[in-house]
Amino acid sequence: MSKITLTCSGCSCFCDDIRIEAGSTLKLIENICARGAALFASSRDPARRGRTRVGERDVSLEEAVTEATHLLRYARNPLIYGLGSSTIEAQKTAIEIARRLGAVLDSSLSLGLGEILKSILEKNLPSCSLLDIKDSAGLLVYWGSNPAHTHPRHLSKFTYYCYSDYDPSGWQPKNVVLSSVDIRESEFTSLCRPKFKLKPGGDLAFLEAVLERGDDLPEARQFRELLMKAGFAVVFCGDGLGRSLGGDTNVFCEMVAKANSVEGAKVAVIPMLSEPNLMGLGRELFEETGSVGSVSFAGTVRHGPECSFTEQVKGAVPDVLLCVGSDPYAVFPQALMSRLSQADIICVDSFTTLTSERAAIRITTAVAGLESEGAVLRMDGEKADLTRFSAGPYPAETVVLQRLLEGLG
Amino acid sequence: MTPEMDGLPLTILTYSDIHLDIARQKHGWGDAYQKLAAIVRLSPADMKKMGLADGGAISLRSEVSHIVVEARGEKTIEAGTGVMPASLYTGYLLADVEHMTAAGLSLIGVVAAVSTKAPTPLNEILPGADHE
Repeated sequence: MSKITLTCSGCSCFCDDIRIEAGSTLKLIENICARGAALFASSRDPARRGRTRVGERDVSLEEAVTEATHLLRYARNPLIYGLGSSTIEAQKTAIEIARRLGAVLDSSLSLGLGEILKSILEKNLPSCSLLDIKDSAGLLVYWGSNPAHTHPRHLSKFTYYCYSDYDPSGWQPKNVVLSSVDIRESEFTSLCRPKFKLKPGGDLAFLEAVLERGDDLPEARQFRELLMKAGFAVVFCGDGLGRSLGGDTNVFCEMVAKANSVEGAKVAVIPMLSEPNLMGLGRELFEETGSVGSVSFAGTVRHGPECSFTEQVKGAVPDVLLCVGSDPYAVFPQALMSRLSQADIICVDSFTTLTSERAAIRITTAVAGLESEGAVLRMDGEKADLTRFSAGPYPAETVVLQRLLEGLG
Repeated sequence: MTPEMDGLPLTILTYSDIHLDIARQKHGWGDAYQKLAAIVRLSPADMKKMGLADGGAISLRSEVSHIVVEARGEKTIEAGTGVMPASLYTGYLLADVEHMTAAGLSLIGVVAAVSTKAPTPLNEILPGADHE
C-alpha cells in the first residue's frame, strides 16, 4: 500500500516527514514523536472528542452557532482566549470577531514568550530558520526550555543530532556545543556541556552578570566567553526564561546585541513556543495591532498587561468567554478560574477538556492537520501547510469561526 | 497551628511534563493523570530530614490550600526545592489570585510535612471543588 506524507500539528516543530499508509486508520505511522502520536491516537477516540451541545443538549452546528452568536452579540465584556493551535485562517477570523465585538483577545503568549516573540518581530532580536542550523551553528543554547518534553524531535530533526559529523564513538556530533541555562537539572541538561544552573528567578541577575554588571559570577563569565567565541550561536528560549523575565526583555536583547557586536559573531534567537501555532497568532496580531497578545478592540485598539487573560479574569471582567482550542481550566489556578463562575463560556475545541465540560455552548471541531487543512507558522516563522488526511464528522475550526462572524452581522 | 504547619519550607518548581500531557491527551482527567501529577521530587537530604522513603505521602500546604502527594527522592534536586509537573495539583496550591503573576505560576512556596493520608484525589481539586 502506498504511503502519504503529513505535517504533524502536535507542536510548533510541525514535522513534515510523518509517513502513513494511505487509507489506513492511523496505524503504522513513521517518524512521529510521542506527543504527535498521542494527538493522532486521541483523534480516533470518540470519548475524547465529545459532541456539539448547548447546555446538556446535543445540537446541530447551526443551532450551536446561533446560540453562540446570540451570547456574543449581547456580551458587555467579551474575552476571546486561545487560538494557539489554530490555523492562520482561523486566527484571522477570530481577530475579526474580536474587532467586530470590541472584545479582548489573548493567548498563552501572555504567560511566557510573548515579549520575546514581539522583540523578534520588531527586529530587536535576530532570529534564523531552523534549517540554517545544521552543520553551521557552533553553539546551541536551550534557555529555560526542556525540548525532550516540549518539542521531542527538536534535537534530532533540526539541531544537535541532525549534524553530519560525529565523534568516533558515534554518540556526539563534532563541531557543535550543546548547552543549557535552567533552574533545574533534567535528563536534557545531562546532555549539555557546559550547563548553567540558575537560582529560581535568577535569569535577570545572570544576564546582568554576563553583561559585566552586578555580581561577578564565574558561570556568567564562562557563558559570555562561550557565546563570544561560538561564531554562529542559536539561543532557544523557553517559557522558563519568558516567565522569569516577566515581560521585560531589554536586558536579554542587550546581551544578544552585545554578543552580535563581536566580529564574526552571529547570535540568533528562536522561541520554543508551547502551542503549535503561537507564531502564526503572534505575527497576525502584531501586524494588525503592534502587539502579539493581550489586545483590547473596545474602542481604540490598545494592549497591555491589563488586557491579559490573567488580569481580565482576576477582575471578573468577562461576561462571555469564547475559548478556541485552549483549556484555561487545566492551566490556570483553580482559584483564578473560579472568578469566571458568572461568565458564559463558548468552547470551540477538537477535544473534551475541562473548559469544554464547563461551557454553556460547546462546538467540537476537526483536528487541524488530520481532519482539516490550513496554514501555520513554525516556531522560526517558516510557513507550513497542514493537509487533511481523512474526512471526519466535525467542521473545521475556520468554518465555525466564519459562521460566528457572519452571524454577528 | 496544626502539626503539619511545623514542616519544611520548600519552593516548588513546576515544569511541562510530556508524560502528563500525553496521559491527559489520551485519557483525559483520570487515574493516569493523577498518578503522574500527584508527585513531588525532593532532594535526598530533604527526604532523609523528613524520614521519607520513595513513595511516602507528603502534605504540601501553601498559604490557603493543602494537598497530599507522593514523594520521591532525586539526587539532582537541591535541598529546599521540590519539583512537580505543572498540573491541577500545582494550580490548586496557587490561591493568591491578587498577586498572581506568570512567574508565580512556576514557583510556589509551601510547607511540607510527612502525611499519613493517601494522595489527594483528583476530584477534590477539580475546578469548582471548594478550596479549604
